[in-house]
Amino acid sequence: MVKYRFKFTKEGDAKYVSQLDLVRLFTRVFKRAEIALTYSQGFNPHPKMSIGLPLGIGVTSECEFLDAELEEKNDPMEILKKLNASAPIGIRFTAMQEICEFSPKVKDAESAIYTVKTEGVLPTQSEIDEFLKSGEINVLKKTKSGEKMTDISPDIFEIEKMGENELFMRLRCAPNINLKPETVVLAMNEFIENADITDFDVHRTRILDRLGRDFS
Amino acid sequence: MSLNKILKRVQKPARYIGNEYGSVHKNLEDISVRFAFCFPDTYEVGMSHLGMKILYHLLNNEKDVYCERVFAPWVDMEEEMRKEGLELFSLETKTPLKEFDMVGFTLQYEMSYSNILNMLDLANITKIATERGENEPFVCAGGPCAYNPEPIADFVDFFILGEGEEVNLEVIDAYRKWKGSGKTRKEFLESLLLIEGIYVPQFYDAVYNEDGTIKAFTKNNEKAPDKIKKRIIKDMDSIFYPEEIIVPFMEIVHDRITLELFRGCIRGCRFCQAGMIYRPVRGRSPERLLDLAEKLIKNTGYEEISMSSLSTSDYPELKKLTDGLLDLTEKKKISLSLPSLRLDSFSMELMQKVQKVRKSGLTFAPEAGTQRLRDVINKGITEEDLMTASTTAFAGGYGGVKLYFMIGLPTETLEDVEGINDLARKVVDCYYNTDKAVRNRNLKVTVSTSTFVPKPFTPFQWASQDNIPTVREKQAFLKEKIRHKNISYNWHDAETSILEGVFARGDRKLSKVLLKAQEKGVRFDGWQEYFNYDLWMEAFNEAGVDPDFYNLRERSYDEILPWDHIDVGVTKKFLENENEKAKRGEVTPNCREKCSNCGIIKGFGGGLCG
Ligand code: SF4
Repeated sequence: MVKYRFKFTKEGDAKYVSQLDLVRLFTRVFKRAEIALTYSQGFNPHPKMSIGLPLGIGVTSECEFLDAELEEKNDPMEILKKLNASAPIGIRFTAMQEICEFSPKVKDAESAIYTVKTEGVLPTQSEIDEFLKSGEINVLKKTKSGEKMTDISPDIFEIEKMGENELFMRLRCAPNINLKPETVVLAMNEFIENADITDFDVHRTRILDRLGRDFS
Repeated sequence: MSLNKILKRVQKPARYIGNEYGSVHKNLEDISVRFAFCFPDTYEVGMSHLGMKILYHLLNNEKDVYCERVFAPWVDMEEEMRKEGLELFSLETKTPLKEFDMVGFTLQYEMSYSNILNMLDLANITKIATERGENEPFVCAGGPCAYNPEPIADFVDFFILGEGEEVNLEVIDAYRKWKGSGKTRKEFLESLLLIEGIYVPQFYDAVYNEDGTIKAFTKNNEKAPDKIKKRIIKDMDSIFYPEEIIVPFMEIVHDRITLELFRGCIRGCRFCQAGMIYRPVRGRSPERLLDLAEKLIKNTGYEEISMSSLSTSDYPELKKLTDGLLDLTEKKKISLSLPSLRLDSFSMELMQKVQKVRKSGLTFAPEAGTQRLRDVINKGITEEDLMTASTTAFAGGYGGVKLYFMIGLPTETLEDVEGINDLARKVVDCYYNTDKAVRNRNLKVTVSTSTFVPKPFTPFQWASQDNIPTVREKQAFLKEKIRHKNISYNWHDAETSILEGVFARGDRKLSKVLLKAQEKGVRFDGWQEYFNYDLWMEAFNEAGVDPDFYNLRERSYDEILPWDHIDVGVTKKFLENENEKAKRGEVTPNCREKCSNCGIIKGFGGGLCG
């Protein structure tokens, strides 16, 4: 038995596949590829795999990861080739490595990097900087027990303008707090006078742990 | 593209994206016939349907044919589409429906008719077939409800009657010949008349008597056949069956591999339309099924496989098949499910083997509460069968039993309704008589009643249906009787069954009602939360059609029924006989014990009934 971390992309229409559906999807991909996953013992055995960190529906990504335990060790190139031949359009496995004690742990995840592309109007960098320095940024956030005003400012690490219609964002992405780029965009529209960021697409490029290491 | 914007705003966007593993993608330049397979319900429901899987892959096996899928968008999606002016599109290439050559609807239940009209509306396709322009697609329909096509006859260019594996390809072939020939729509429809199983409603006219019954149903086109005979597949082993199927991104209702064992049923329950229209019984060999199972498991990666037929226990080589399947599923770590088992000892044993883990629930369908009424409907289950099965189940650790019944069967009295309660209580007694050491710690008996709806091509096709107050009264009566801590009771809404009954035995006059109802915004009538009975009644009113005419009267044997021009093989005389026997409480043996000459072998070649 050996534990691997797989890096995968979620592109095109596959961005509409929910995280929950992905678990089932991967079980089937491995079955089709005839790569044996290890199953839990007990009455209702399920494969030992877990998907890294939540990603909102409608967001594409090139840095998702999946931890899975395989029955046997094999040539990584061979495994990746088989998996990709069995994966649906939009899901592609790009790398894998054995998990060891030095591998970043999900509980140590800290932030994620996104690019946000819009057809609308972006504010200037100085307006963005002002927004970030303005102190508390209170937004209505959905919680388990309804909606609650929450200050999201501690969860925004960086926002930078990259050309006319693109933003770079580094936001908190940890097991307990995951700040969505949409939430930030809505806050910008609300608090920055000249912002009208509509019809935007979000793409995740990296997930980092507390030491600034990539997960995959 | 506006679709991308819309998808971010709707629930479950995965319903609309296509691109699933196993979906077919073709280069449009190589395609001469584009077929849109439309299922008039949600993605989750439609994708669970075996017929769609078969026809989708069958058509796509043809190099120059591209079959794509279309489902009814959920209400939130429909609202967004109408707001953005986005027309109904196919999943694979997102092509507007009206650009297809053929648009085919599958008719699985009457309550989806409003969705068909709504989908045509969303697609901007002319609803009335005879008004469709030369450049519009041909709208066709098939499936079990097509055996009484009349309520939607005005909207459909042609119906395909019976099993589709052969006839669909013949239709495609006729289309290839017609396309580019410069001939008219009408000429294409006429060319279809040479194919057995094709019904073109515009070539027939109905004339009515003053009381609303049919005076005459005659063809207005010489080439049209007097009777349209359904198609059947004679050799199930050699006929196409998909070896790979689409594996959806999202969870669907039946999210598993389906293995179709056989078609038809030997039982002859008198209320059951499937048991009559799918005759004769024809099965696949265990060898073929095991081969298919192995390929499908490998190609889909599914974790569950299920058998499908009207009555699994009647499969002649069930032991051989299940032994083989259990072998396969154990090796591949997938589970096997066995629906539609009868209450015999082999089935009980089998269930023990298969469901080693989950001892939660068993399902039995006695359908009626007393032996008298079970004889009337020819349901060959006795109280003793049920008791033996329950005892075995409880001894095997099962804690839940579901019992299915129908309310409103012909000749039913309150005594029969009370019999439902008696049976449920006897099942409870069975549990308490089981040794505490082996039985489950909890017991839950669930009684469910649906409302009987008389269907065409059954011995009860002449019967009157219970009206809403009567159904409610019976439900309330049973609810009062049942009060027991281990028994819970749920029932079907009476109004839905009334509407189902109207359309099941309806005629062409109903198309006006459908048009009105769709304008008023009815859709998803099969979904309790969207079913709007009052809107429907308004539509009937405005169209000047009385729904009671279809439900609440007993028809005489000499009345011309709206579906009399359709030939399903079972003769009207046989059905009449069965109805008389029902009135006398006489049972008819199953087809393996004794052939009762239903007529099917006469019309479809001998030696078929297995
Ligand atoms: S012909 Fe006889 S055996 Fe065949 S389906 Fe009809 S009644 Fe049954």
